Amino acid sequence: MSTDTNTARGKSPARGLTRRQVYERKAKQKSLIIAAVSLAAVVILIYIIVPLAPGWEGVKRSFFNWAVLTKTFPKMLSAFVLDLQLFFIAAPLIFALALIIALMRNVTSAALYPLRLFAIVYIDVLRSIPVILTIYLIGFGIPGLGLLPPYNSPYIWGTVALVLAYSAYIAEVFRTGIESIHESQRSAARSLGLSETSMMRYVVLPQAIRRVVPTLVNFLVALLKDVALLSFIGPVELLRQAGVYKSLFANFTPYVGAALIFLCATIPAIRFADYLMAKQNAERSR
Amino acid sequence: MSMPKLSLRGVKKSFGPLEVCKNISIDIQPSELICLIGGSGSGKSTLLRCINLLDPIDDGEILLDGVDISLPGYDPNPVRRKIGMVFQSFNLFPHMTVLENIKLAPMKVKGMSSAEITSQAQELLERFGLSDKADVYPDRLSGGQQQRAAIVRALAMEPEIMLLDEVTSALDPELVGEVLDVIRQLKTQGMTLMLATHEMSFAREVADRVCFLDDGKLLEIAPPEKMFTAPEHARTRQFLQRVLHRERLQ
Repeated sequence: MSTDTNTARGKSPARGLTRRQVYERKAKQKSLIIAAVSLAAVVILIYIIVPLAPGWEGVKRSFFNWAVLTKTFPKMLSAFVLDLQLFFIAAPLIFALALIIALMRNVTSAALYPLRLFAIVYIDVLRSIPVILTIYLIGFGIPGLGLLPPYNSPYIWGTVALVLAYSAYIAEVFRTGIESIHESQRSAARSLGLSETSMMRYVVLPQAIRRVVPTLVNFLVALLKDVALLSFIGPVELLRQAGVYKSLFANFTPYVGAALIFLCATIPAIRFADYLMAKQNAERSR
Repeated sequence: MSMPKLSLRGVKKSFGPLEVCKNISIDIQPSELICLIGGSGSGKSTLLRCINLLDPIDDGEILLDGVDISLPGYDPNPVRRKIGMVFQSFNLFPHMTVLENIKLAPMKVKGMSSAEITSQAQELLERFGLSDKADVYPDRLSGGQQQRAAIVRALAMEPEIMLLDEVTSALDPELVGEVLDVIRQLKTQGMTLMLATHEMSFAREVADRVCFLDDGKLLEIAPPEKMFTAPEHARTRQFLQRVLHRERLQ
């Protein structure tokens, strides 16, 4: 094959690329260089300017203290295991309860109206109260009824509070998903003689849940962070542990360490949610 | 004359202030093929949905084998086992394969075993040229294949009547033929059929009787030869002239 025929077909003789590929490759290189240069400029600026602040030395000592970080990090990691435990107990309960509430919210029969009313009130009330307040009220209030150990544990009632608060939000997510399934799917299911229950279970819910998965992953990320709110009623999880160390060393570095641990756990989940969302969008526009 | 398979008597249906079916009466004999023609919004689809009890009628009666199925409070599900319906937009369940689409209702409604219905479904798929598509998801099928799969799904319930609502309207022209072939096949097998359609030449070919609906009224009902050559009403003539002219252009 001679180079002449290649050129005649509009290909670069050197690498066998089309003209457009050569052009796009060049454009991409150019934009990569520009991005790298501007990023470097910003980093250098921060590196020069921030230390000029009068309090920088103090901040460095009390927030970015390597000695404190290495001393406290292992114990904080094990405190984070408690966050994970609470998270993995709460998450399935939340989904189960949310699904039940969403289905109750969708009930149409008159005899079951109390269920529907309960679901509406449940969702309205719990969504309107700050999560931390729900945790305080339930975490302190219910053990205050005089329950005996171990049933007065803040671990139990704190988790219950999280489950209640989050299930209200996620019930709404499920409901939106259920309502987003086109009426024609229901018509098709009914025309085949499926009962309302079968229609919901085999036709509507599987599609609805698939559709809200990205939103659910986002809520899971929020939940993982909100487990830290339980520190306010007792459990010594990561945030609480960091607080203890802060007082012990009179230094804020443990908070930075805690933030790093949360970052490592949540960023992959956030990227995963983005990936799922992009995938769904691609499928829908196909 | 035998008892009609299906009788509509003075069927009325409104959506709010909009009267969609105005006093419609038809008797459909067993194994008869009725074509409903008429402009969009003339009430064809609504009439079919009412017969399938998807939309409750306001007044009148719908008799299936002499039994009034339109009584308010009448359990619709046994009726729908006898009356299958296929939609313009196919409405296959996108999260299930073709085979799963077909198996769902026989298993959940009739309580058939998976093995029983699978062999029956495969027979049907073979008959309608879809045997290699059993394990494919609907979005991998062409429109014509999807619509044939939807027809098979309805047939798997072994209905006595099939209602087809403009089943070729959403298809590319070159895919219409394969779906019409399926309908011809159903007719040869003696299925009682009611179809809303815009395919005039097809209606002329297969229909036993053609109904012209106009603005919610059943204006004219006649055998196809009469309907297409010597319609009685001026409105019918007008409509036919318009659509037949368009069909000739295609």
